[in-house]
Amino acid sequence: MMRLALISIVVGFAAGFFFLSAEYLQWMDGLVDAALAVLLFGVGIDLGRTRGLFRRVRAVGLWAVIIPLSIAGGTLIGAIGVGRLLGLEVWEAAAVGSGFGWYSLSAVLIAQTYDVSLGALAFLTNVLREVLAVLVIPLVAARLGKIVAVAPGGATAMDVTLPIIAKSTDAETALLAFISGVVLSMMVPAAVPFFLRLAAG
Amino acid sequence: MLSLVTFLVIGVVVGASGKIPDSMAWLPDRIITIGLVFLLMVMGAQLGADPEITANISSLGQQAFLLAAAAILGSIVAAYAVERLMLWMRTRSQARQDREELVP
Repeated sequence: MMRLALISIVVGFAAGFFFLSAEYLQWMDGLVDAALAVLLFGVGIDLGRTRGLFRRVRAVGLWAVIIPLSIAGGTLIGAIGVGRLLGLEVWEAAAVGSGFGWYSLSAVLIAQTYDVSLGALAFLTNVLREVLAVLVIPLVAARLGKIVAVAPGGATAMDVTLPIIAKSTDAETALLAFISGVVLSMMVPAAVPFFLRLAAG
Repeated sequence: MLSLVTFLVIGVVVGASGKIPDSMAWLPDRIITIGLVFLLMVMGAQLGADPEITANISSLGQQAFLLAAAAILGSIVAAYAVERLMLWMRTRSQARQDREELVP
């Protein structure tokens, strides 16, 4: 998916750089809105179809919610803190951080409903989060503990970084990581628009 | 923006209703992939057509690196606190059990 996402952006970028003008792109606004609606409908179906999630959550207990919520909170504090140093508005930094590693969805939501340059920042930030997570998870698991290894990947703990978490920890933690990733993924399409609305004031 | 979340909620309800048979499981995946490819291309085109952004693309990359590192660090600190809390609660309930076994 990352290769496909990068190719899509590069192809679009080349078209924008060499052929298309900004005025021409504005004509696509209606189509973009429709595509966003269809996209979120698809994301909703996918999340709604997650089988046996509640059964698994019950097996793990309240921690299944506390862990992803604390990961979300830590992410937002980190992103807002550094965002302020970089001169970003508080809620803009929060919107970028609340991609939780889901770079494609957070980027298009921000680019098409708020600001395209912040969308690009969200894409890069969340791609880098995934890449850095892959690198630090084994280290974190060895030094700080198994539960902590669930944190770096954010929403990607349910797919891309799950094998690495499973390999560096144990089966119980892998289940927790999957649930945490699903909960954070569910938060992305709600949290990003929420923070954008606050940013728009 | 509210309407976007509405579409999300409708999707969740449809997905959770179980009305979509397993033979159609590929459909939401396909919808998401096509939607994302199209919207990422549009985002790319908007970026490419904006001279202010093309001029600042490397500073954008640096900002992204710092934001990603801070997001990871923040989440690690928070998860570490939760892990400590879990261990503390586990040892406390273990200690209580031991006491109850000692004093019948």
